[in-house]
Amino acid sequence: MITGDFHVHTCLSPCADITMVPNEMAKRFSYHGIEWIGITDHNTCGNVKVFERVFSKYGITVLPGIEVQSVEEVHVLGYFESVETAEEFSKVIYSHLPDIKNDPERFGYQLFVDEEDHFTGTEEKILASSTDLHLDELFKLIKAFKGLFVYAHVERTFGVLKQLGFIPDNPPYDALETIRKIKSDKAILKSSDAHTLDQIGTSVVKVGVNHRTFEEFKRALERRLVFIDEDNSRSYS
Amino acid sequence: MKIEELKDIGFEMVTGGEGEINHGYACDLLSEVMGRAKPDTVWLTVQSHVNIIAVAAITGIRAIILCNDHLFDEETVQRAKKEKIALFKTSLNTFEACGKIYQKGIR
Repeated sequence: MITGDFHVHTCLSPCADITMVPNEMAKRFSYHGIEWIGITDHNTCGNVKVFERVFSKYGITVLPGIEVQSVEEVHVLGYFESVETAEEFSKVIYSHLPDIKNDPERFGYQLFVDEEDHFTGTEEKILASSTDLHLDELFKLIKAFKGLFVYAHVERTFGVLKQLGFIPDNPPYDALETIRKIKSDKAILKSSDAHTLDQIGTSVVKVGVNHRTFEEFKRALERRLVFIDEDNSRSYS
Repeated sequence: MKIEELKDIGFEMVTGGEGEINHGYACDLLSEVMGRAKPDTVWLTVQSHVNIIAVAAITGIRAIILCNDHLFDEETVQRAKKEKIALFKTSLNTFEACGKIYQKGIR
């Protein structure tokens, strides 16, 4: 069993705290014994590579990911087999974002960071917006990159249940993320959705695989080998 | 109010429906609409996902007006025909569109 948290933001997400830098986050994950992390910033994979490099020094594996906002204002998590694939996907998503400049004082800072936790620049385009992709288009795009399509926090704001009332038959999602007990024939993830350092460790899952690879993660979702560890989860929302 | 009368006040009909309209509701969060919209309602939204038809069918909404020049996808139109729910579109924003219907006495 491997302990993981597959929905975590970095300082590149406008709504995340600027202290969400790689070494500080890695220390927190190490402290909580969480060794497999999905890095899922809003509409971008721009910090994934740096986080993978830093986290590996702490013995933590990064699952490259993203949290995309569809036209319906539904948040979807995408996971990819490699940092390179995630970065290519991120470029496509970038072209589907509106050409609006971010106002950091209103929406928050969007910061790129290096391996020493130093800020190296800012993303100028607004990331706190919807793409122009409908859910089925987004599904097809994620699948074109051989990725996994997971509905994020289904019952919260920007969750598919809140936005669309119920989960549509199509597209056929790979898993869903929830904080409640929901019955589904798909795998269920419970994640921290950490935007601040103190939210790290608030939610984890145990994954019934031996290796921390994308293929194993995919198989774990298919076979529903993801388990919610109630004892180690303290929900903050 | 008859559904066809929505055409007379400037809304473009995409597909027709059945029944009378006695109430109006405006919201883009489908979970809210499911919980709050009354039967025999005209619903104004910018959400065009096919789930709007199921929400309309559940709540008894008779007509949906899609604002801001948004377009229904084909699947949504087909489902609406099946459920006999009228679809309209308009270049007006939701507030302006509500005003027109409110003037006709719909509450």
